[in-house]
Amino acid sequence: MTTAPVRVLLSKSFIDSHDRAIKTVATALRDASMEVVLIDYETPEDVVVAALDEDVDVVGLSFMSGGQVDVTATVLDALRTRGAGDVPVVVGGTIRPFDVPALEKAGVAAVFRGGEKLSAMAETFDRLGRRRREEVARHGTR
Amino acid sequence: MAPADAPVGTLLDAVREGDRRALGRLISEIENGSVLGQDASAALCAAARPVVVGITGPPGAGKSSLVRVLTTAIVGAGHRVAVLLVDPSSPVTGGAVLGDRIRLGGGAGSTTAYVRSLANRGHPGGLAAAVPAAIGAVGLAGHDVVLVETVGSGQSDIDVVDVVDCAVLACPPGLGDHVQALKSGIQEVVDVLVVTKADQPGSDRTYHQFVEISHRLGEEVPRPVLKTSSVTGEGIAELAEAVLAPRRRPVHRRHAAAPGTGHGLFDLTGRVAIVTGASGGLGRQFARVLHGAGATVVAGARRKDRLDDLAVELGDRLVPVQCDVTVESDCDRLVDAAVAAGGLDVLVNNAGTGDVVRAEDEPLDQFRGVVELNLVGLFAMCQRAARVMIGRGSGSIINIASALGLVASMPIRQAGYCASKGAVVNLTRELAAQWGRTGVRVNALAPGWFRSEMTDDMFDDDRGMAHIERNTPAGRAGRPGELDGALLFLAADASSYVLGQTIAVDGGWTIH
Repeated sequence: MTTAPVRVLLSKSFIDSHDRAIKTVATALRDASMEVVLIDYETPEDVVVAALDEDVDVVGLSFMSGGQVDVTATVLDALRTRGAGDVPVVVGGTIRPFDVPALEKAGVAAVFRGGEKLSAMAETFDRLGRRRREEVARHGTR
Repeated sequence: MAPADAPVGTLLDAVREGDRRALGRLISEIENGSVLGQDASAALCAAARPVVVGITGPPGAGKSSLVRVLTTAIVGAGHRVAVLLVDPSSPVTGGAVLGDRIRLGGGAGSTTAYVRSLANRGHPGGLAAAVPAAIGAVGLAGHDVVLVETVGSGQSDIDVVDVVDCAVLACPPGLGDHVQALKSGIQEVVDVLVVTKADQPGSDRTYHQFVEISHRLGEEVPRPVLKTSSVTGEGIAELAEAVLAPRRRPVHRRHAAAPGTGHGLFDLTGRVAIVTGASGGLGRQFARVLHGAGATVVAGARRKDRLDDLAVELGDRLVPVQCDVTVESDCDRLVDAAVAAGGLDVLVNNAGTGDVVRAEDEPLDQFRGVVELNLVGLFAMCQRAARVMIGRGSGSIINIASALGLVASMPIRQAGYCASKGAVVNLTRELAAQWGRTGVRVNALAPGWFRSEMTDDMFDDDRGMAHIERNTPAGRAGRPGELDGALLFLAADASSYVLGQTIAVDGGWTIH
């Protein structure tokens, strides 16, 4: 049903205490009528299980210290392995210029480096979420 | 996994086989109220239930942290646990930040339990509308204990007690004085009283306030009062034991139909209902609705295999009786079965048949057959039910008439059907008038175009559907479940001053 709110999982590592960015984005997505589930992952597998449990339409990963490429690639792989390769993954935070090609190669749907407008981010999440929702309605989940 | 228009059975099968992704999807369908979700909800609300534990309390009481340690304790005792976390939706944008899961930590949030966050989407009372069906969904997936954490609640957010086997009130130290504890509300209806954050000052005082109110009037033993700390682990093992202890819920937990409130108006807990024709599509749904509202349902029909399926689906409180309401002794058996189940409060006269043939060609025996079932059989059930209901001083009889009891059926020719359904409409008035002073109410429900075995041909035919859509002011046929509200209204105390009426639920078919 296209009128139901888009569901988003936002996550960062539990050892990374920089939570201002993820909270700001969560609030912006809430204000754009989305339902946002927050978790601090211990392992990338936690992100995948939460994405399945919560049937989210988009996953957002926030990085303020390390692991940008490794963790993202592991999450994307695990989503595909668990049959959820259709859930788009968005990455944001301190993303260095040389991380971007590797992230794109891994298959992320969007990268937000510092300075992005909140409204543009919300639009991206909304668009990706609605597209995934329509795919599910048409073909079922893969 | 199945697309949205796939049969609901495919998705339910995947959930039953433990497909975690399918379970997530099923709960979304329920939340979103899709056709698939609605189909599943009816089955799930009635499925064999896991033990359900509700955790409620004011915002910031430490409910999520309590859920984390409680989950670990219950998993440790060998149970498969699912956790449903309800948080409020924004009244402004409809969005939500579902932040409870973060407090469950990586471990509890992934490996040991299924966890699902639900936005309440404006639903009052501390829960989300999807919670009862979601409980059924996680039960279907094999979880035997479900923890439901409510929205941070106020004194009157007590919906949780209606869907759980054990309700826990979690309060931190230092909220209000002893007068707060004496006030009415949530603290009266929960089963276990917990003081959270016992490692902080003031917990003893709150504990003693809870002890004072723990012994409810009319109960042999006081309710458990526990001090817990999610930091030190104090009291958690005792709480796990307390919430899983078998307990018999009092039948009437709430003061029924308190004046000026909506509570109890649609509650059929403890009542007994008969549904005839319970093997067909509409009859089965009627049985589910009354059962879902708490009634024991005596389901009558000729096809035993269908009744057995229904008994498996609904489980407890469903009494199948193979019968034919054109046989008087069978009518007696139905009423006897209801009396044996504790009385007779509601009768839904749903069994019926049709006769599509030109009137000038219709054999009289065919016409008589239709009238015999739709009118005479219905009357036989009414009079037998009334004899019991008059003795009890109350009861509600609901005759299933038809939009075609109010208007002619053109272009489908069915004289016997229209005549008998029209007769039911006026019989309903006459019986309501005769029995009005006894407390027995008689009303009728007149469905328009709904898919059933009687209308399958019409629905499967493009011209038939076009006819329905063109001539119905709502522009469409009725959807499964769209008779539920009117049926429940007529069955329950909500309609206590409604007599002899026929409610057409027909998308406006009869208004023009």
